Amino acid sequence: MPVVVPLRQHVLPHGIPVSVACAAALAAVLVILALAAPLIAPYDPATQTLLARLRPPIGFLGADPRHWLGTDQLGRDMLTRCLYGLRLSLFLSLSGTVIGLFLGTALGVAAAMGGRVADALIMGLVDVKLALPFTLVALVVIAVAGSGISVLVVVLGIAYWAHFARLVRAELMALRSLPFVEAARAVGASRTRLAMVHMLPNIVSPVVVMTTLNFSNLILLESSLSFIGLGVQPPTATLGSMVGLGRDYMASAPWIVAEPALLIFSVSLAVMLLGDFLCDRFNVRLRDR
Amino acid sequence: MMVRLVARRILRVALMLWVIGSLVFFATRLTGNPIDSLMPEGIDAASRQAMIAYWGLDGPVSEQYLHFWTALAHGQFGLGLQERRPVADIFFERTGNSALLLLATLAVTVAIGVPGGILAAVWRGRPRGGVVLLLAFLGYATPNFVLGILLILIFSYRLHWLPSSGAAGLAHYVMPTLTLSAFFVASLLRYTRNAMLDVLSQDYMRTARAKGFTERQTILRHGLGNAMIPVITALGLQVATLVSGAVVVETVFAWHGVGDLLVNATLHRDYPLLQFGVLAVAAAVVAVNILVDLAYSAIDPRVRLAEAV
Repeated sequence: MPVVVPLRQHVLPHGIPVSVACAAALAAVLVILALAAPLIAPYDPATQTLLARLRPPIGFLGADPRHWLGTDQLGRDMLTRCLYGLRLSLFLSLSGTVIGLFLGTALGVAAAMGGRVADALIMGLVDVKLALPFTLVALVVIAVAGSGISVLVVVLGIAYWAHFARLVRAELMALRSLPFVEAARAVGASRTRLAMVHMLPNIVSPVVVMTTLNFSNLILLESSLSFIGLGVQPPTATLGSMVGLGRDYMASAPWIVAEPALLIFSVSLAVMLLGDFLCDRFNVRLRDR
Repeated sequence: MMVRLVARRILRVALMLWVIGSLVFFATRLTGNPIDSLMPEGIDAASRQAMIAYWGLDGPVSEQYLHFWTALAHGQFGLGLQERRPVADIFFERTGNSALLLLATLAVTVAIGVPGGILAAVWRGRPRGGVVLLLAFLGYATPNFVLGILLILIFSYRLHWLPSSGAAGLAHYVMPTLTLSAFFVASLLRYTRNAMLDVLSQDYMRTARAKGFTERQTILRHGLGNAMIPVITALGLQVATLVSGAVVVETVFAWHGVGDLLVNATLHRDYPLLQFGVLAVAAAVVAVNILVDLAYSAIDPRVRLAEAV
């Protein structure tokens, strides 16, 4: 049998791997860039300069020194549009995550505490949700309600509620028969009070892990929907729609798609690394592997 | 016992399809009369009334709802608004292409994911194992359309090796298949690795080694079969995700498939086509899930027994 030695990772104090620290730093930079976009962006994201169309980024032949990352097919500054796109992408994914978190948690609590009928009903709905390719649901919603920021937020909000509902229900079920819950019930706490005061605070860490994982999934979902043209409508752009609309110019001006694509990749990479790390940290079973 | 199991599953499918169908039905009628978003602006009242009668939208909702299901049961799915042909015809022209893409993806996923996962488990704690895991992580974290676009930039526009769109020959399959499978290879690899690590520390593996089997024999003959049970479950759970991914990848590579069709139906608000397409794909996904479930309980006696109780 091969000798199994623990994977020797480079770790910082507190046992944080260097890769995770880098991911955290990258995430922090991206968030700061997104928050500060209106302050640091050199131009307006919608201003077109048709005389300066399709300029490559600095360092390439024909670059315009005023546009560090080049310009797009309408002469808009790519750096500016990337910053605003990043801002909107993060905002949309975050809103969707928060909606999913509250919706799913509420349903999970209702399923665990609300009796058998509520449980069967909610978990049946969860089964249907998980068996369906979500893109199809998104297509129907968008076909009916049209595409726009508010519709997109709703779509992202209903994308992952089922995962939260199942997790919260399972965790609460496990807590229900523990002595401290029974004690609370014995002194007459209502079911709402039991759930809110005594049980939910005890399941914060798995919920936090799931929130992080879902945030990264929503970043992918939002950029995919925007990419196929079902997200926000021009001239407003998220990173995904910049890639989608820039596709026609891919042969002659690859930076138009490459820059937002690489930005999406780095956001996703940073968030996934952090999610993986949190998952390992809080989940003992996974950590021991 | 198997009969009862199958019957229960079929009941569940029927229930699911009813829920999905009803959701689609009510969703398309939620925002007022669907005719208004289908017809050009400024249509005169008489034509509008005629169209409403033609599409059967003038009765009470309960009647429409009943009609919706009876028509479905009789195989009348309506006409596509853009092409004015039966939606079933339009839909089934596309299914072949999508099925081929999905099968190719499945083949690649299993062919790379399972051996990769075994190697990552066996090489645990060594630099090579770390490299495999790093690659898997990259595959996991890269959105499929970003990967597709980058592949097109490199292999179509820069190197001119591969075609960037269409589904004519074998070369057309390379990039779409790679793009779609990257995520699933990565996730299957991680599942296989974890399952394999669990198995490697079992007593029967030690016994096999003690009997003098080589390490390779121990892993392939005694380890793999046991590790595959959780892996098959994981694979079954991914069917819905796979179909979701295919919709996007088909758009990237202008693949003439169902996903591309449904995205266009959405952009043009072709409700009859979208309605039928969503129901048909949902039914197919649910059916595949059930098949995986049944196959799984046929393979693993423990599941069969647990279900029968």
